[in-house]
Amino acid sequence: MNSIPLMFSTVTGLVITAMGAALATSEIAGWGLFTVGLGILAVALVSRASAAPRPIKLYADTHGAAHLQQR
Amino acid sequence: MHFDVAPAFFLLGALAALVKADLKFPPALYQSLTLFLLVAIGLKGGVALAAHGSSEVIWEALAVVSLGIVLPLLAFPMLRKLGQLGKDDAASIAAHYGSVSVGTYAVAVAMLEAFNISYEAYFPLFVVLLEMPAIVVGLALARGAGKDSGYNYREVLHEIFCNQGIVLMSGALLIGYLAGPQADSVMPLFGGMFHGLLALFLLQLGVVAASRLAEIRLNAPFVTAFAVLMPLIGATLGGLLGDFIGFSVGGVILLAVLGGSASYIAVPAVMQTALPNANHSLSIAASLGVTFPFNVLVGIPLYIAIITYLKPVT
Repeated sequence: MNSIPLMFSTVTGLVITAMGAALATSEIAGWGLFTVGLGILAVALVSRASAAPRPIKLYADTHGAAHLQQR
Repeated sequence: MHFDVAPAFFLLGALAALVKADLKFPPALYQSLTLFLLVAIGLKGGVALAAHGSSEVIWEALAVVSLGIVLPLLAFPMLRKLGQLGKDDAASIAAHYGSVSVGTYAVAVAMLEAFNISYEAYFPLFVVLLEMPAIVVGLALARGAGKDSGYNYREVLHEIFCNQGIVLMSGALLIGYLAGPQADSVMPLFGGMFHGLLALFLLQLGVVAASRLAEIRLNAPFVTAFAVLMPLIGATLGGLLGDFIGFSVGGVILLAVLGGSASYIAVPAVMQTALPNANHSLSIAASLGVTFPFNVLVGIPLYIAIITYLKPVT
């Protein structure tokens, strides 16, 4: 996924989590907004992790080599 | 301990869908419950308008309509620049978030009544009025409003003014206004059974919302964040406007709820006709799969808490 939408969701998650924590600790509202913020952050971080480049695994094609040797 | 019955039924429906329980609603029942809610809300609003309406309502209505114009104008650049969505997709979603959700409004009214917070009972007039401007703004944002925009204006105008939400709510509002106290004869159905049928409606909507969540998988991070942030922005603007207009605490809360809600009945019908190339499942999944549950479970209690904190009920 493109980096700008991911950045937006990460920042939004952080801001909403902070707002939720501030409202809950000052006893104006419950912890609902805080939980939603954490949820958004989790979705963004999971997506970021799955979008990161993975190391390429190389496998020796031993079966193919053996096949060639038999010839 | 205060327990909200309506959101509990919504959660039950969502849970049933997530565990794949055998919970089947006949499609006709969902349709009937929607029709009931539209008529009940419109009728109650019309009766209240006949009893308490004055010329001031016209100015209040004009101010409320401005909210429906501003919200899609705010949402569109966010969707284009931060979400990197195409023009049609961004315009369609912006129209959804500028318009309103009757279901969310019904839940807010039920919660205000549970908390004994009074409100301007003619608010359904504003619900009807707020359905339309965002659609027009959304279509103009997508392709401009000139002759070469490519719209079939006849079809689009028909969808805007003749969709079931507008017809039933404005019709019931007019009937209630003309009937006044004589509408009492039908109130045992539309007033007395409102909360029970709302609970059934939310049970079904819980099932629908949970099944829609899968459709945002591709754009999940952005759509989830936008579908929570936009209601918070809309609710803030709605609350400030409500306070500026001089509504009661309940009225300010209701305008915040309307500003924070997103349409899933009227706007999708219009957008499917006007913008056939837009990704409609994305906009419905955002409004019904994320924003509606957010508002019902977290948003409305949050708006009530903040507004009553800032402006205590007297």
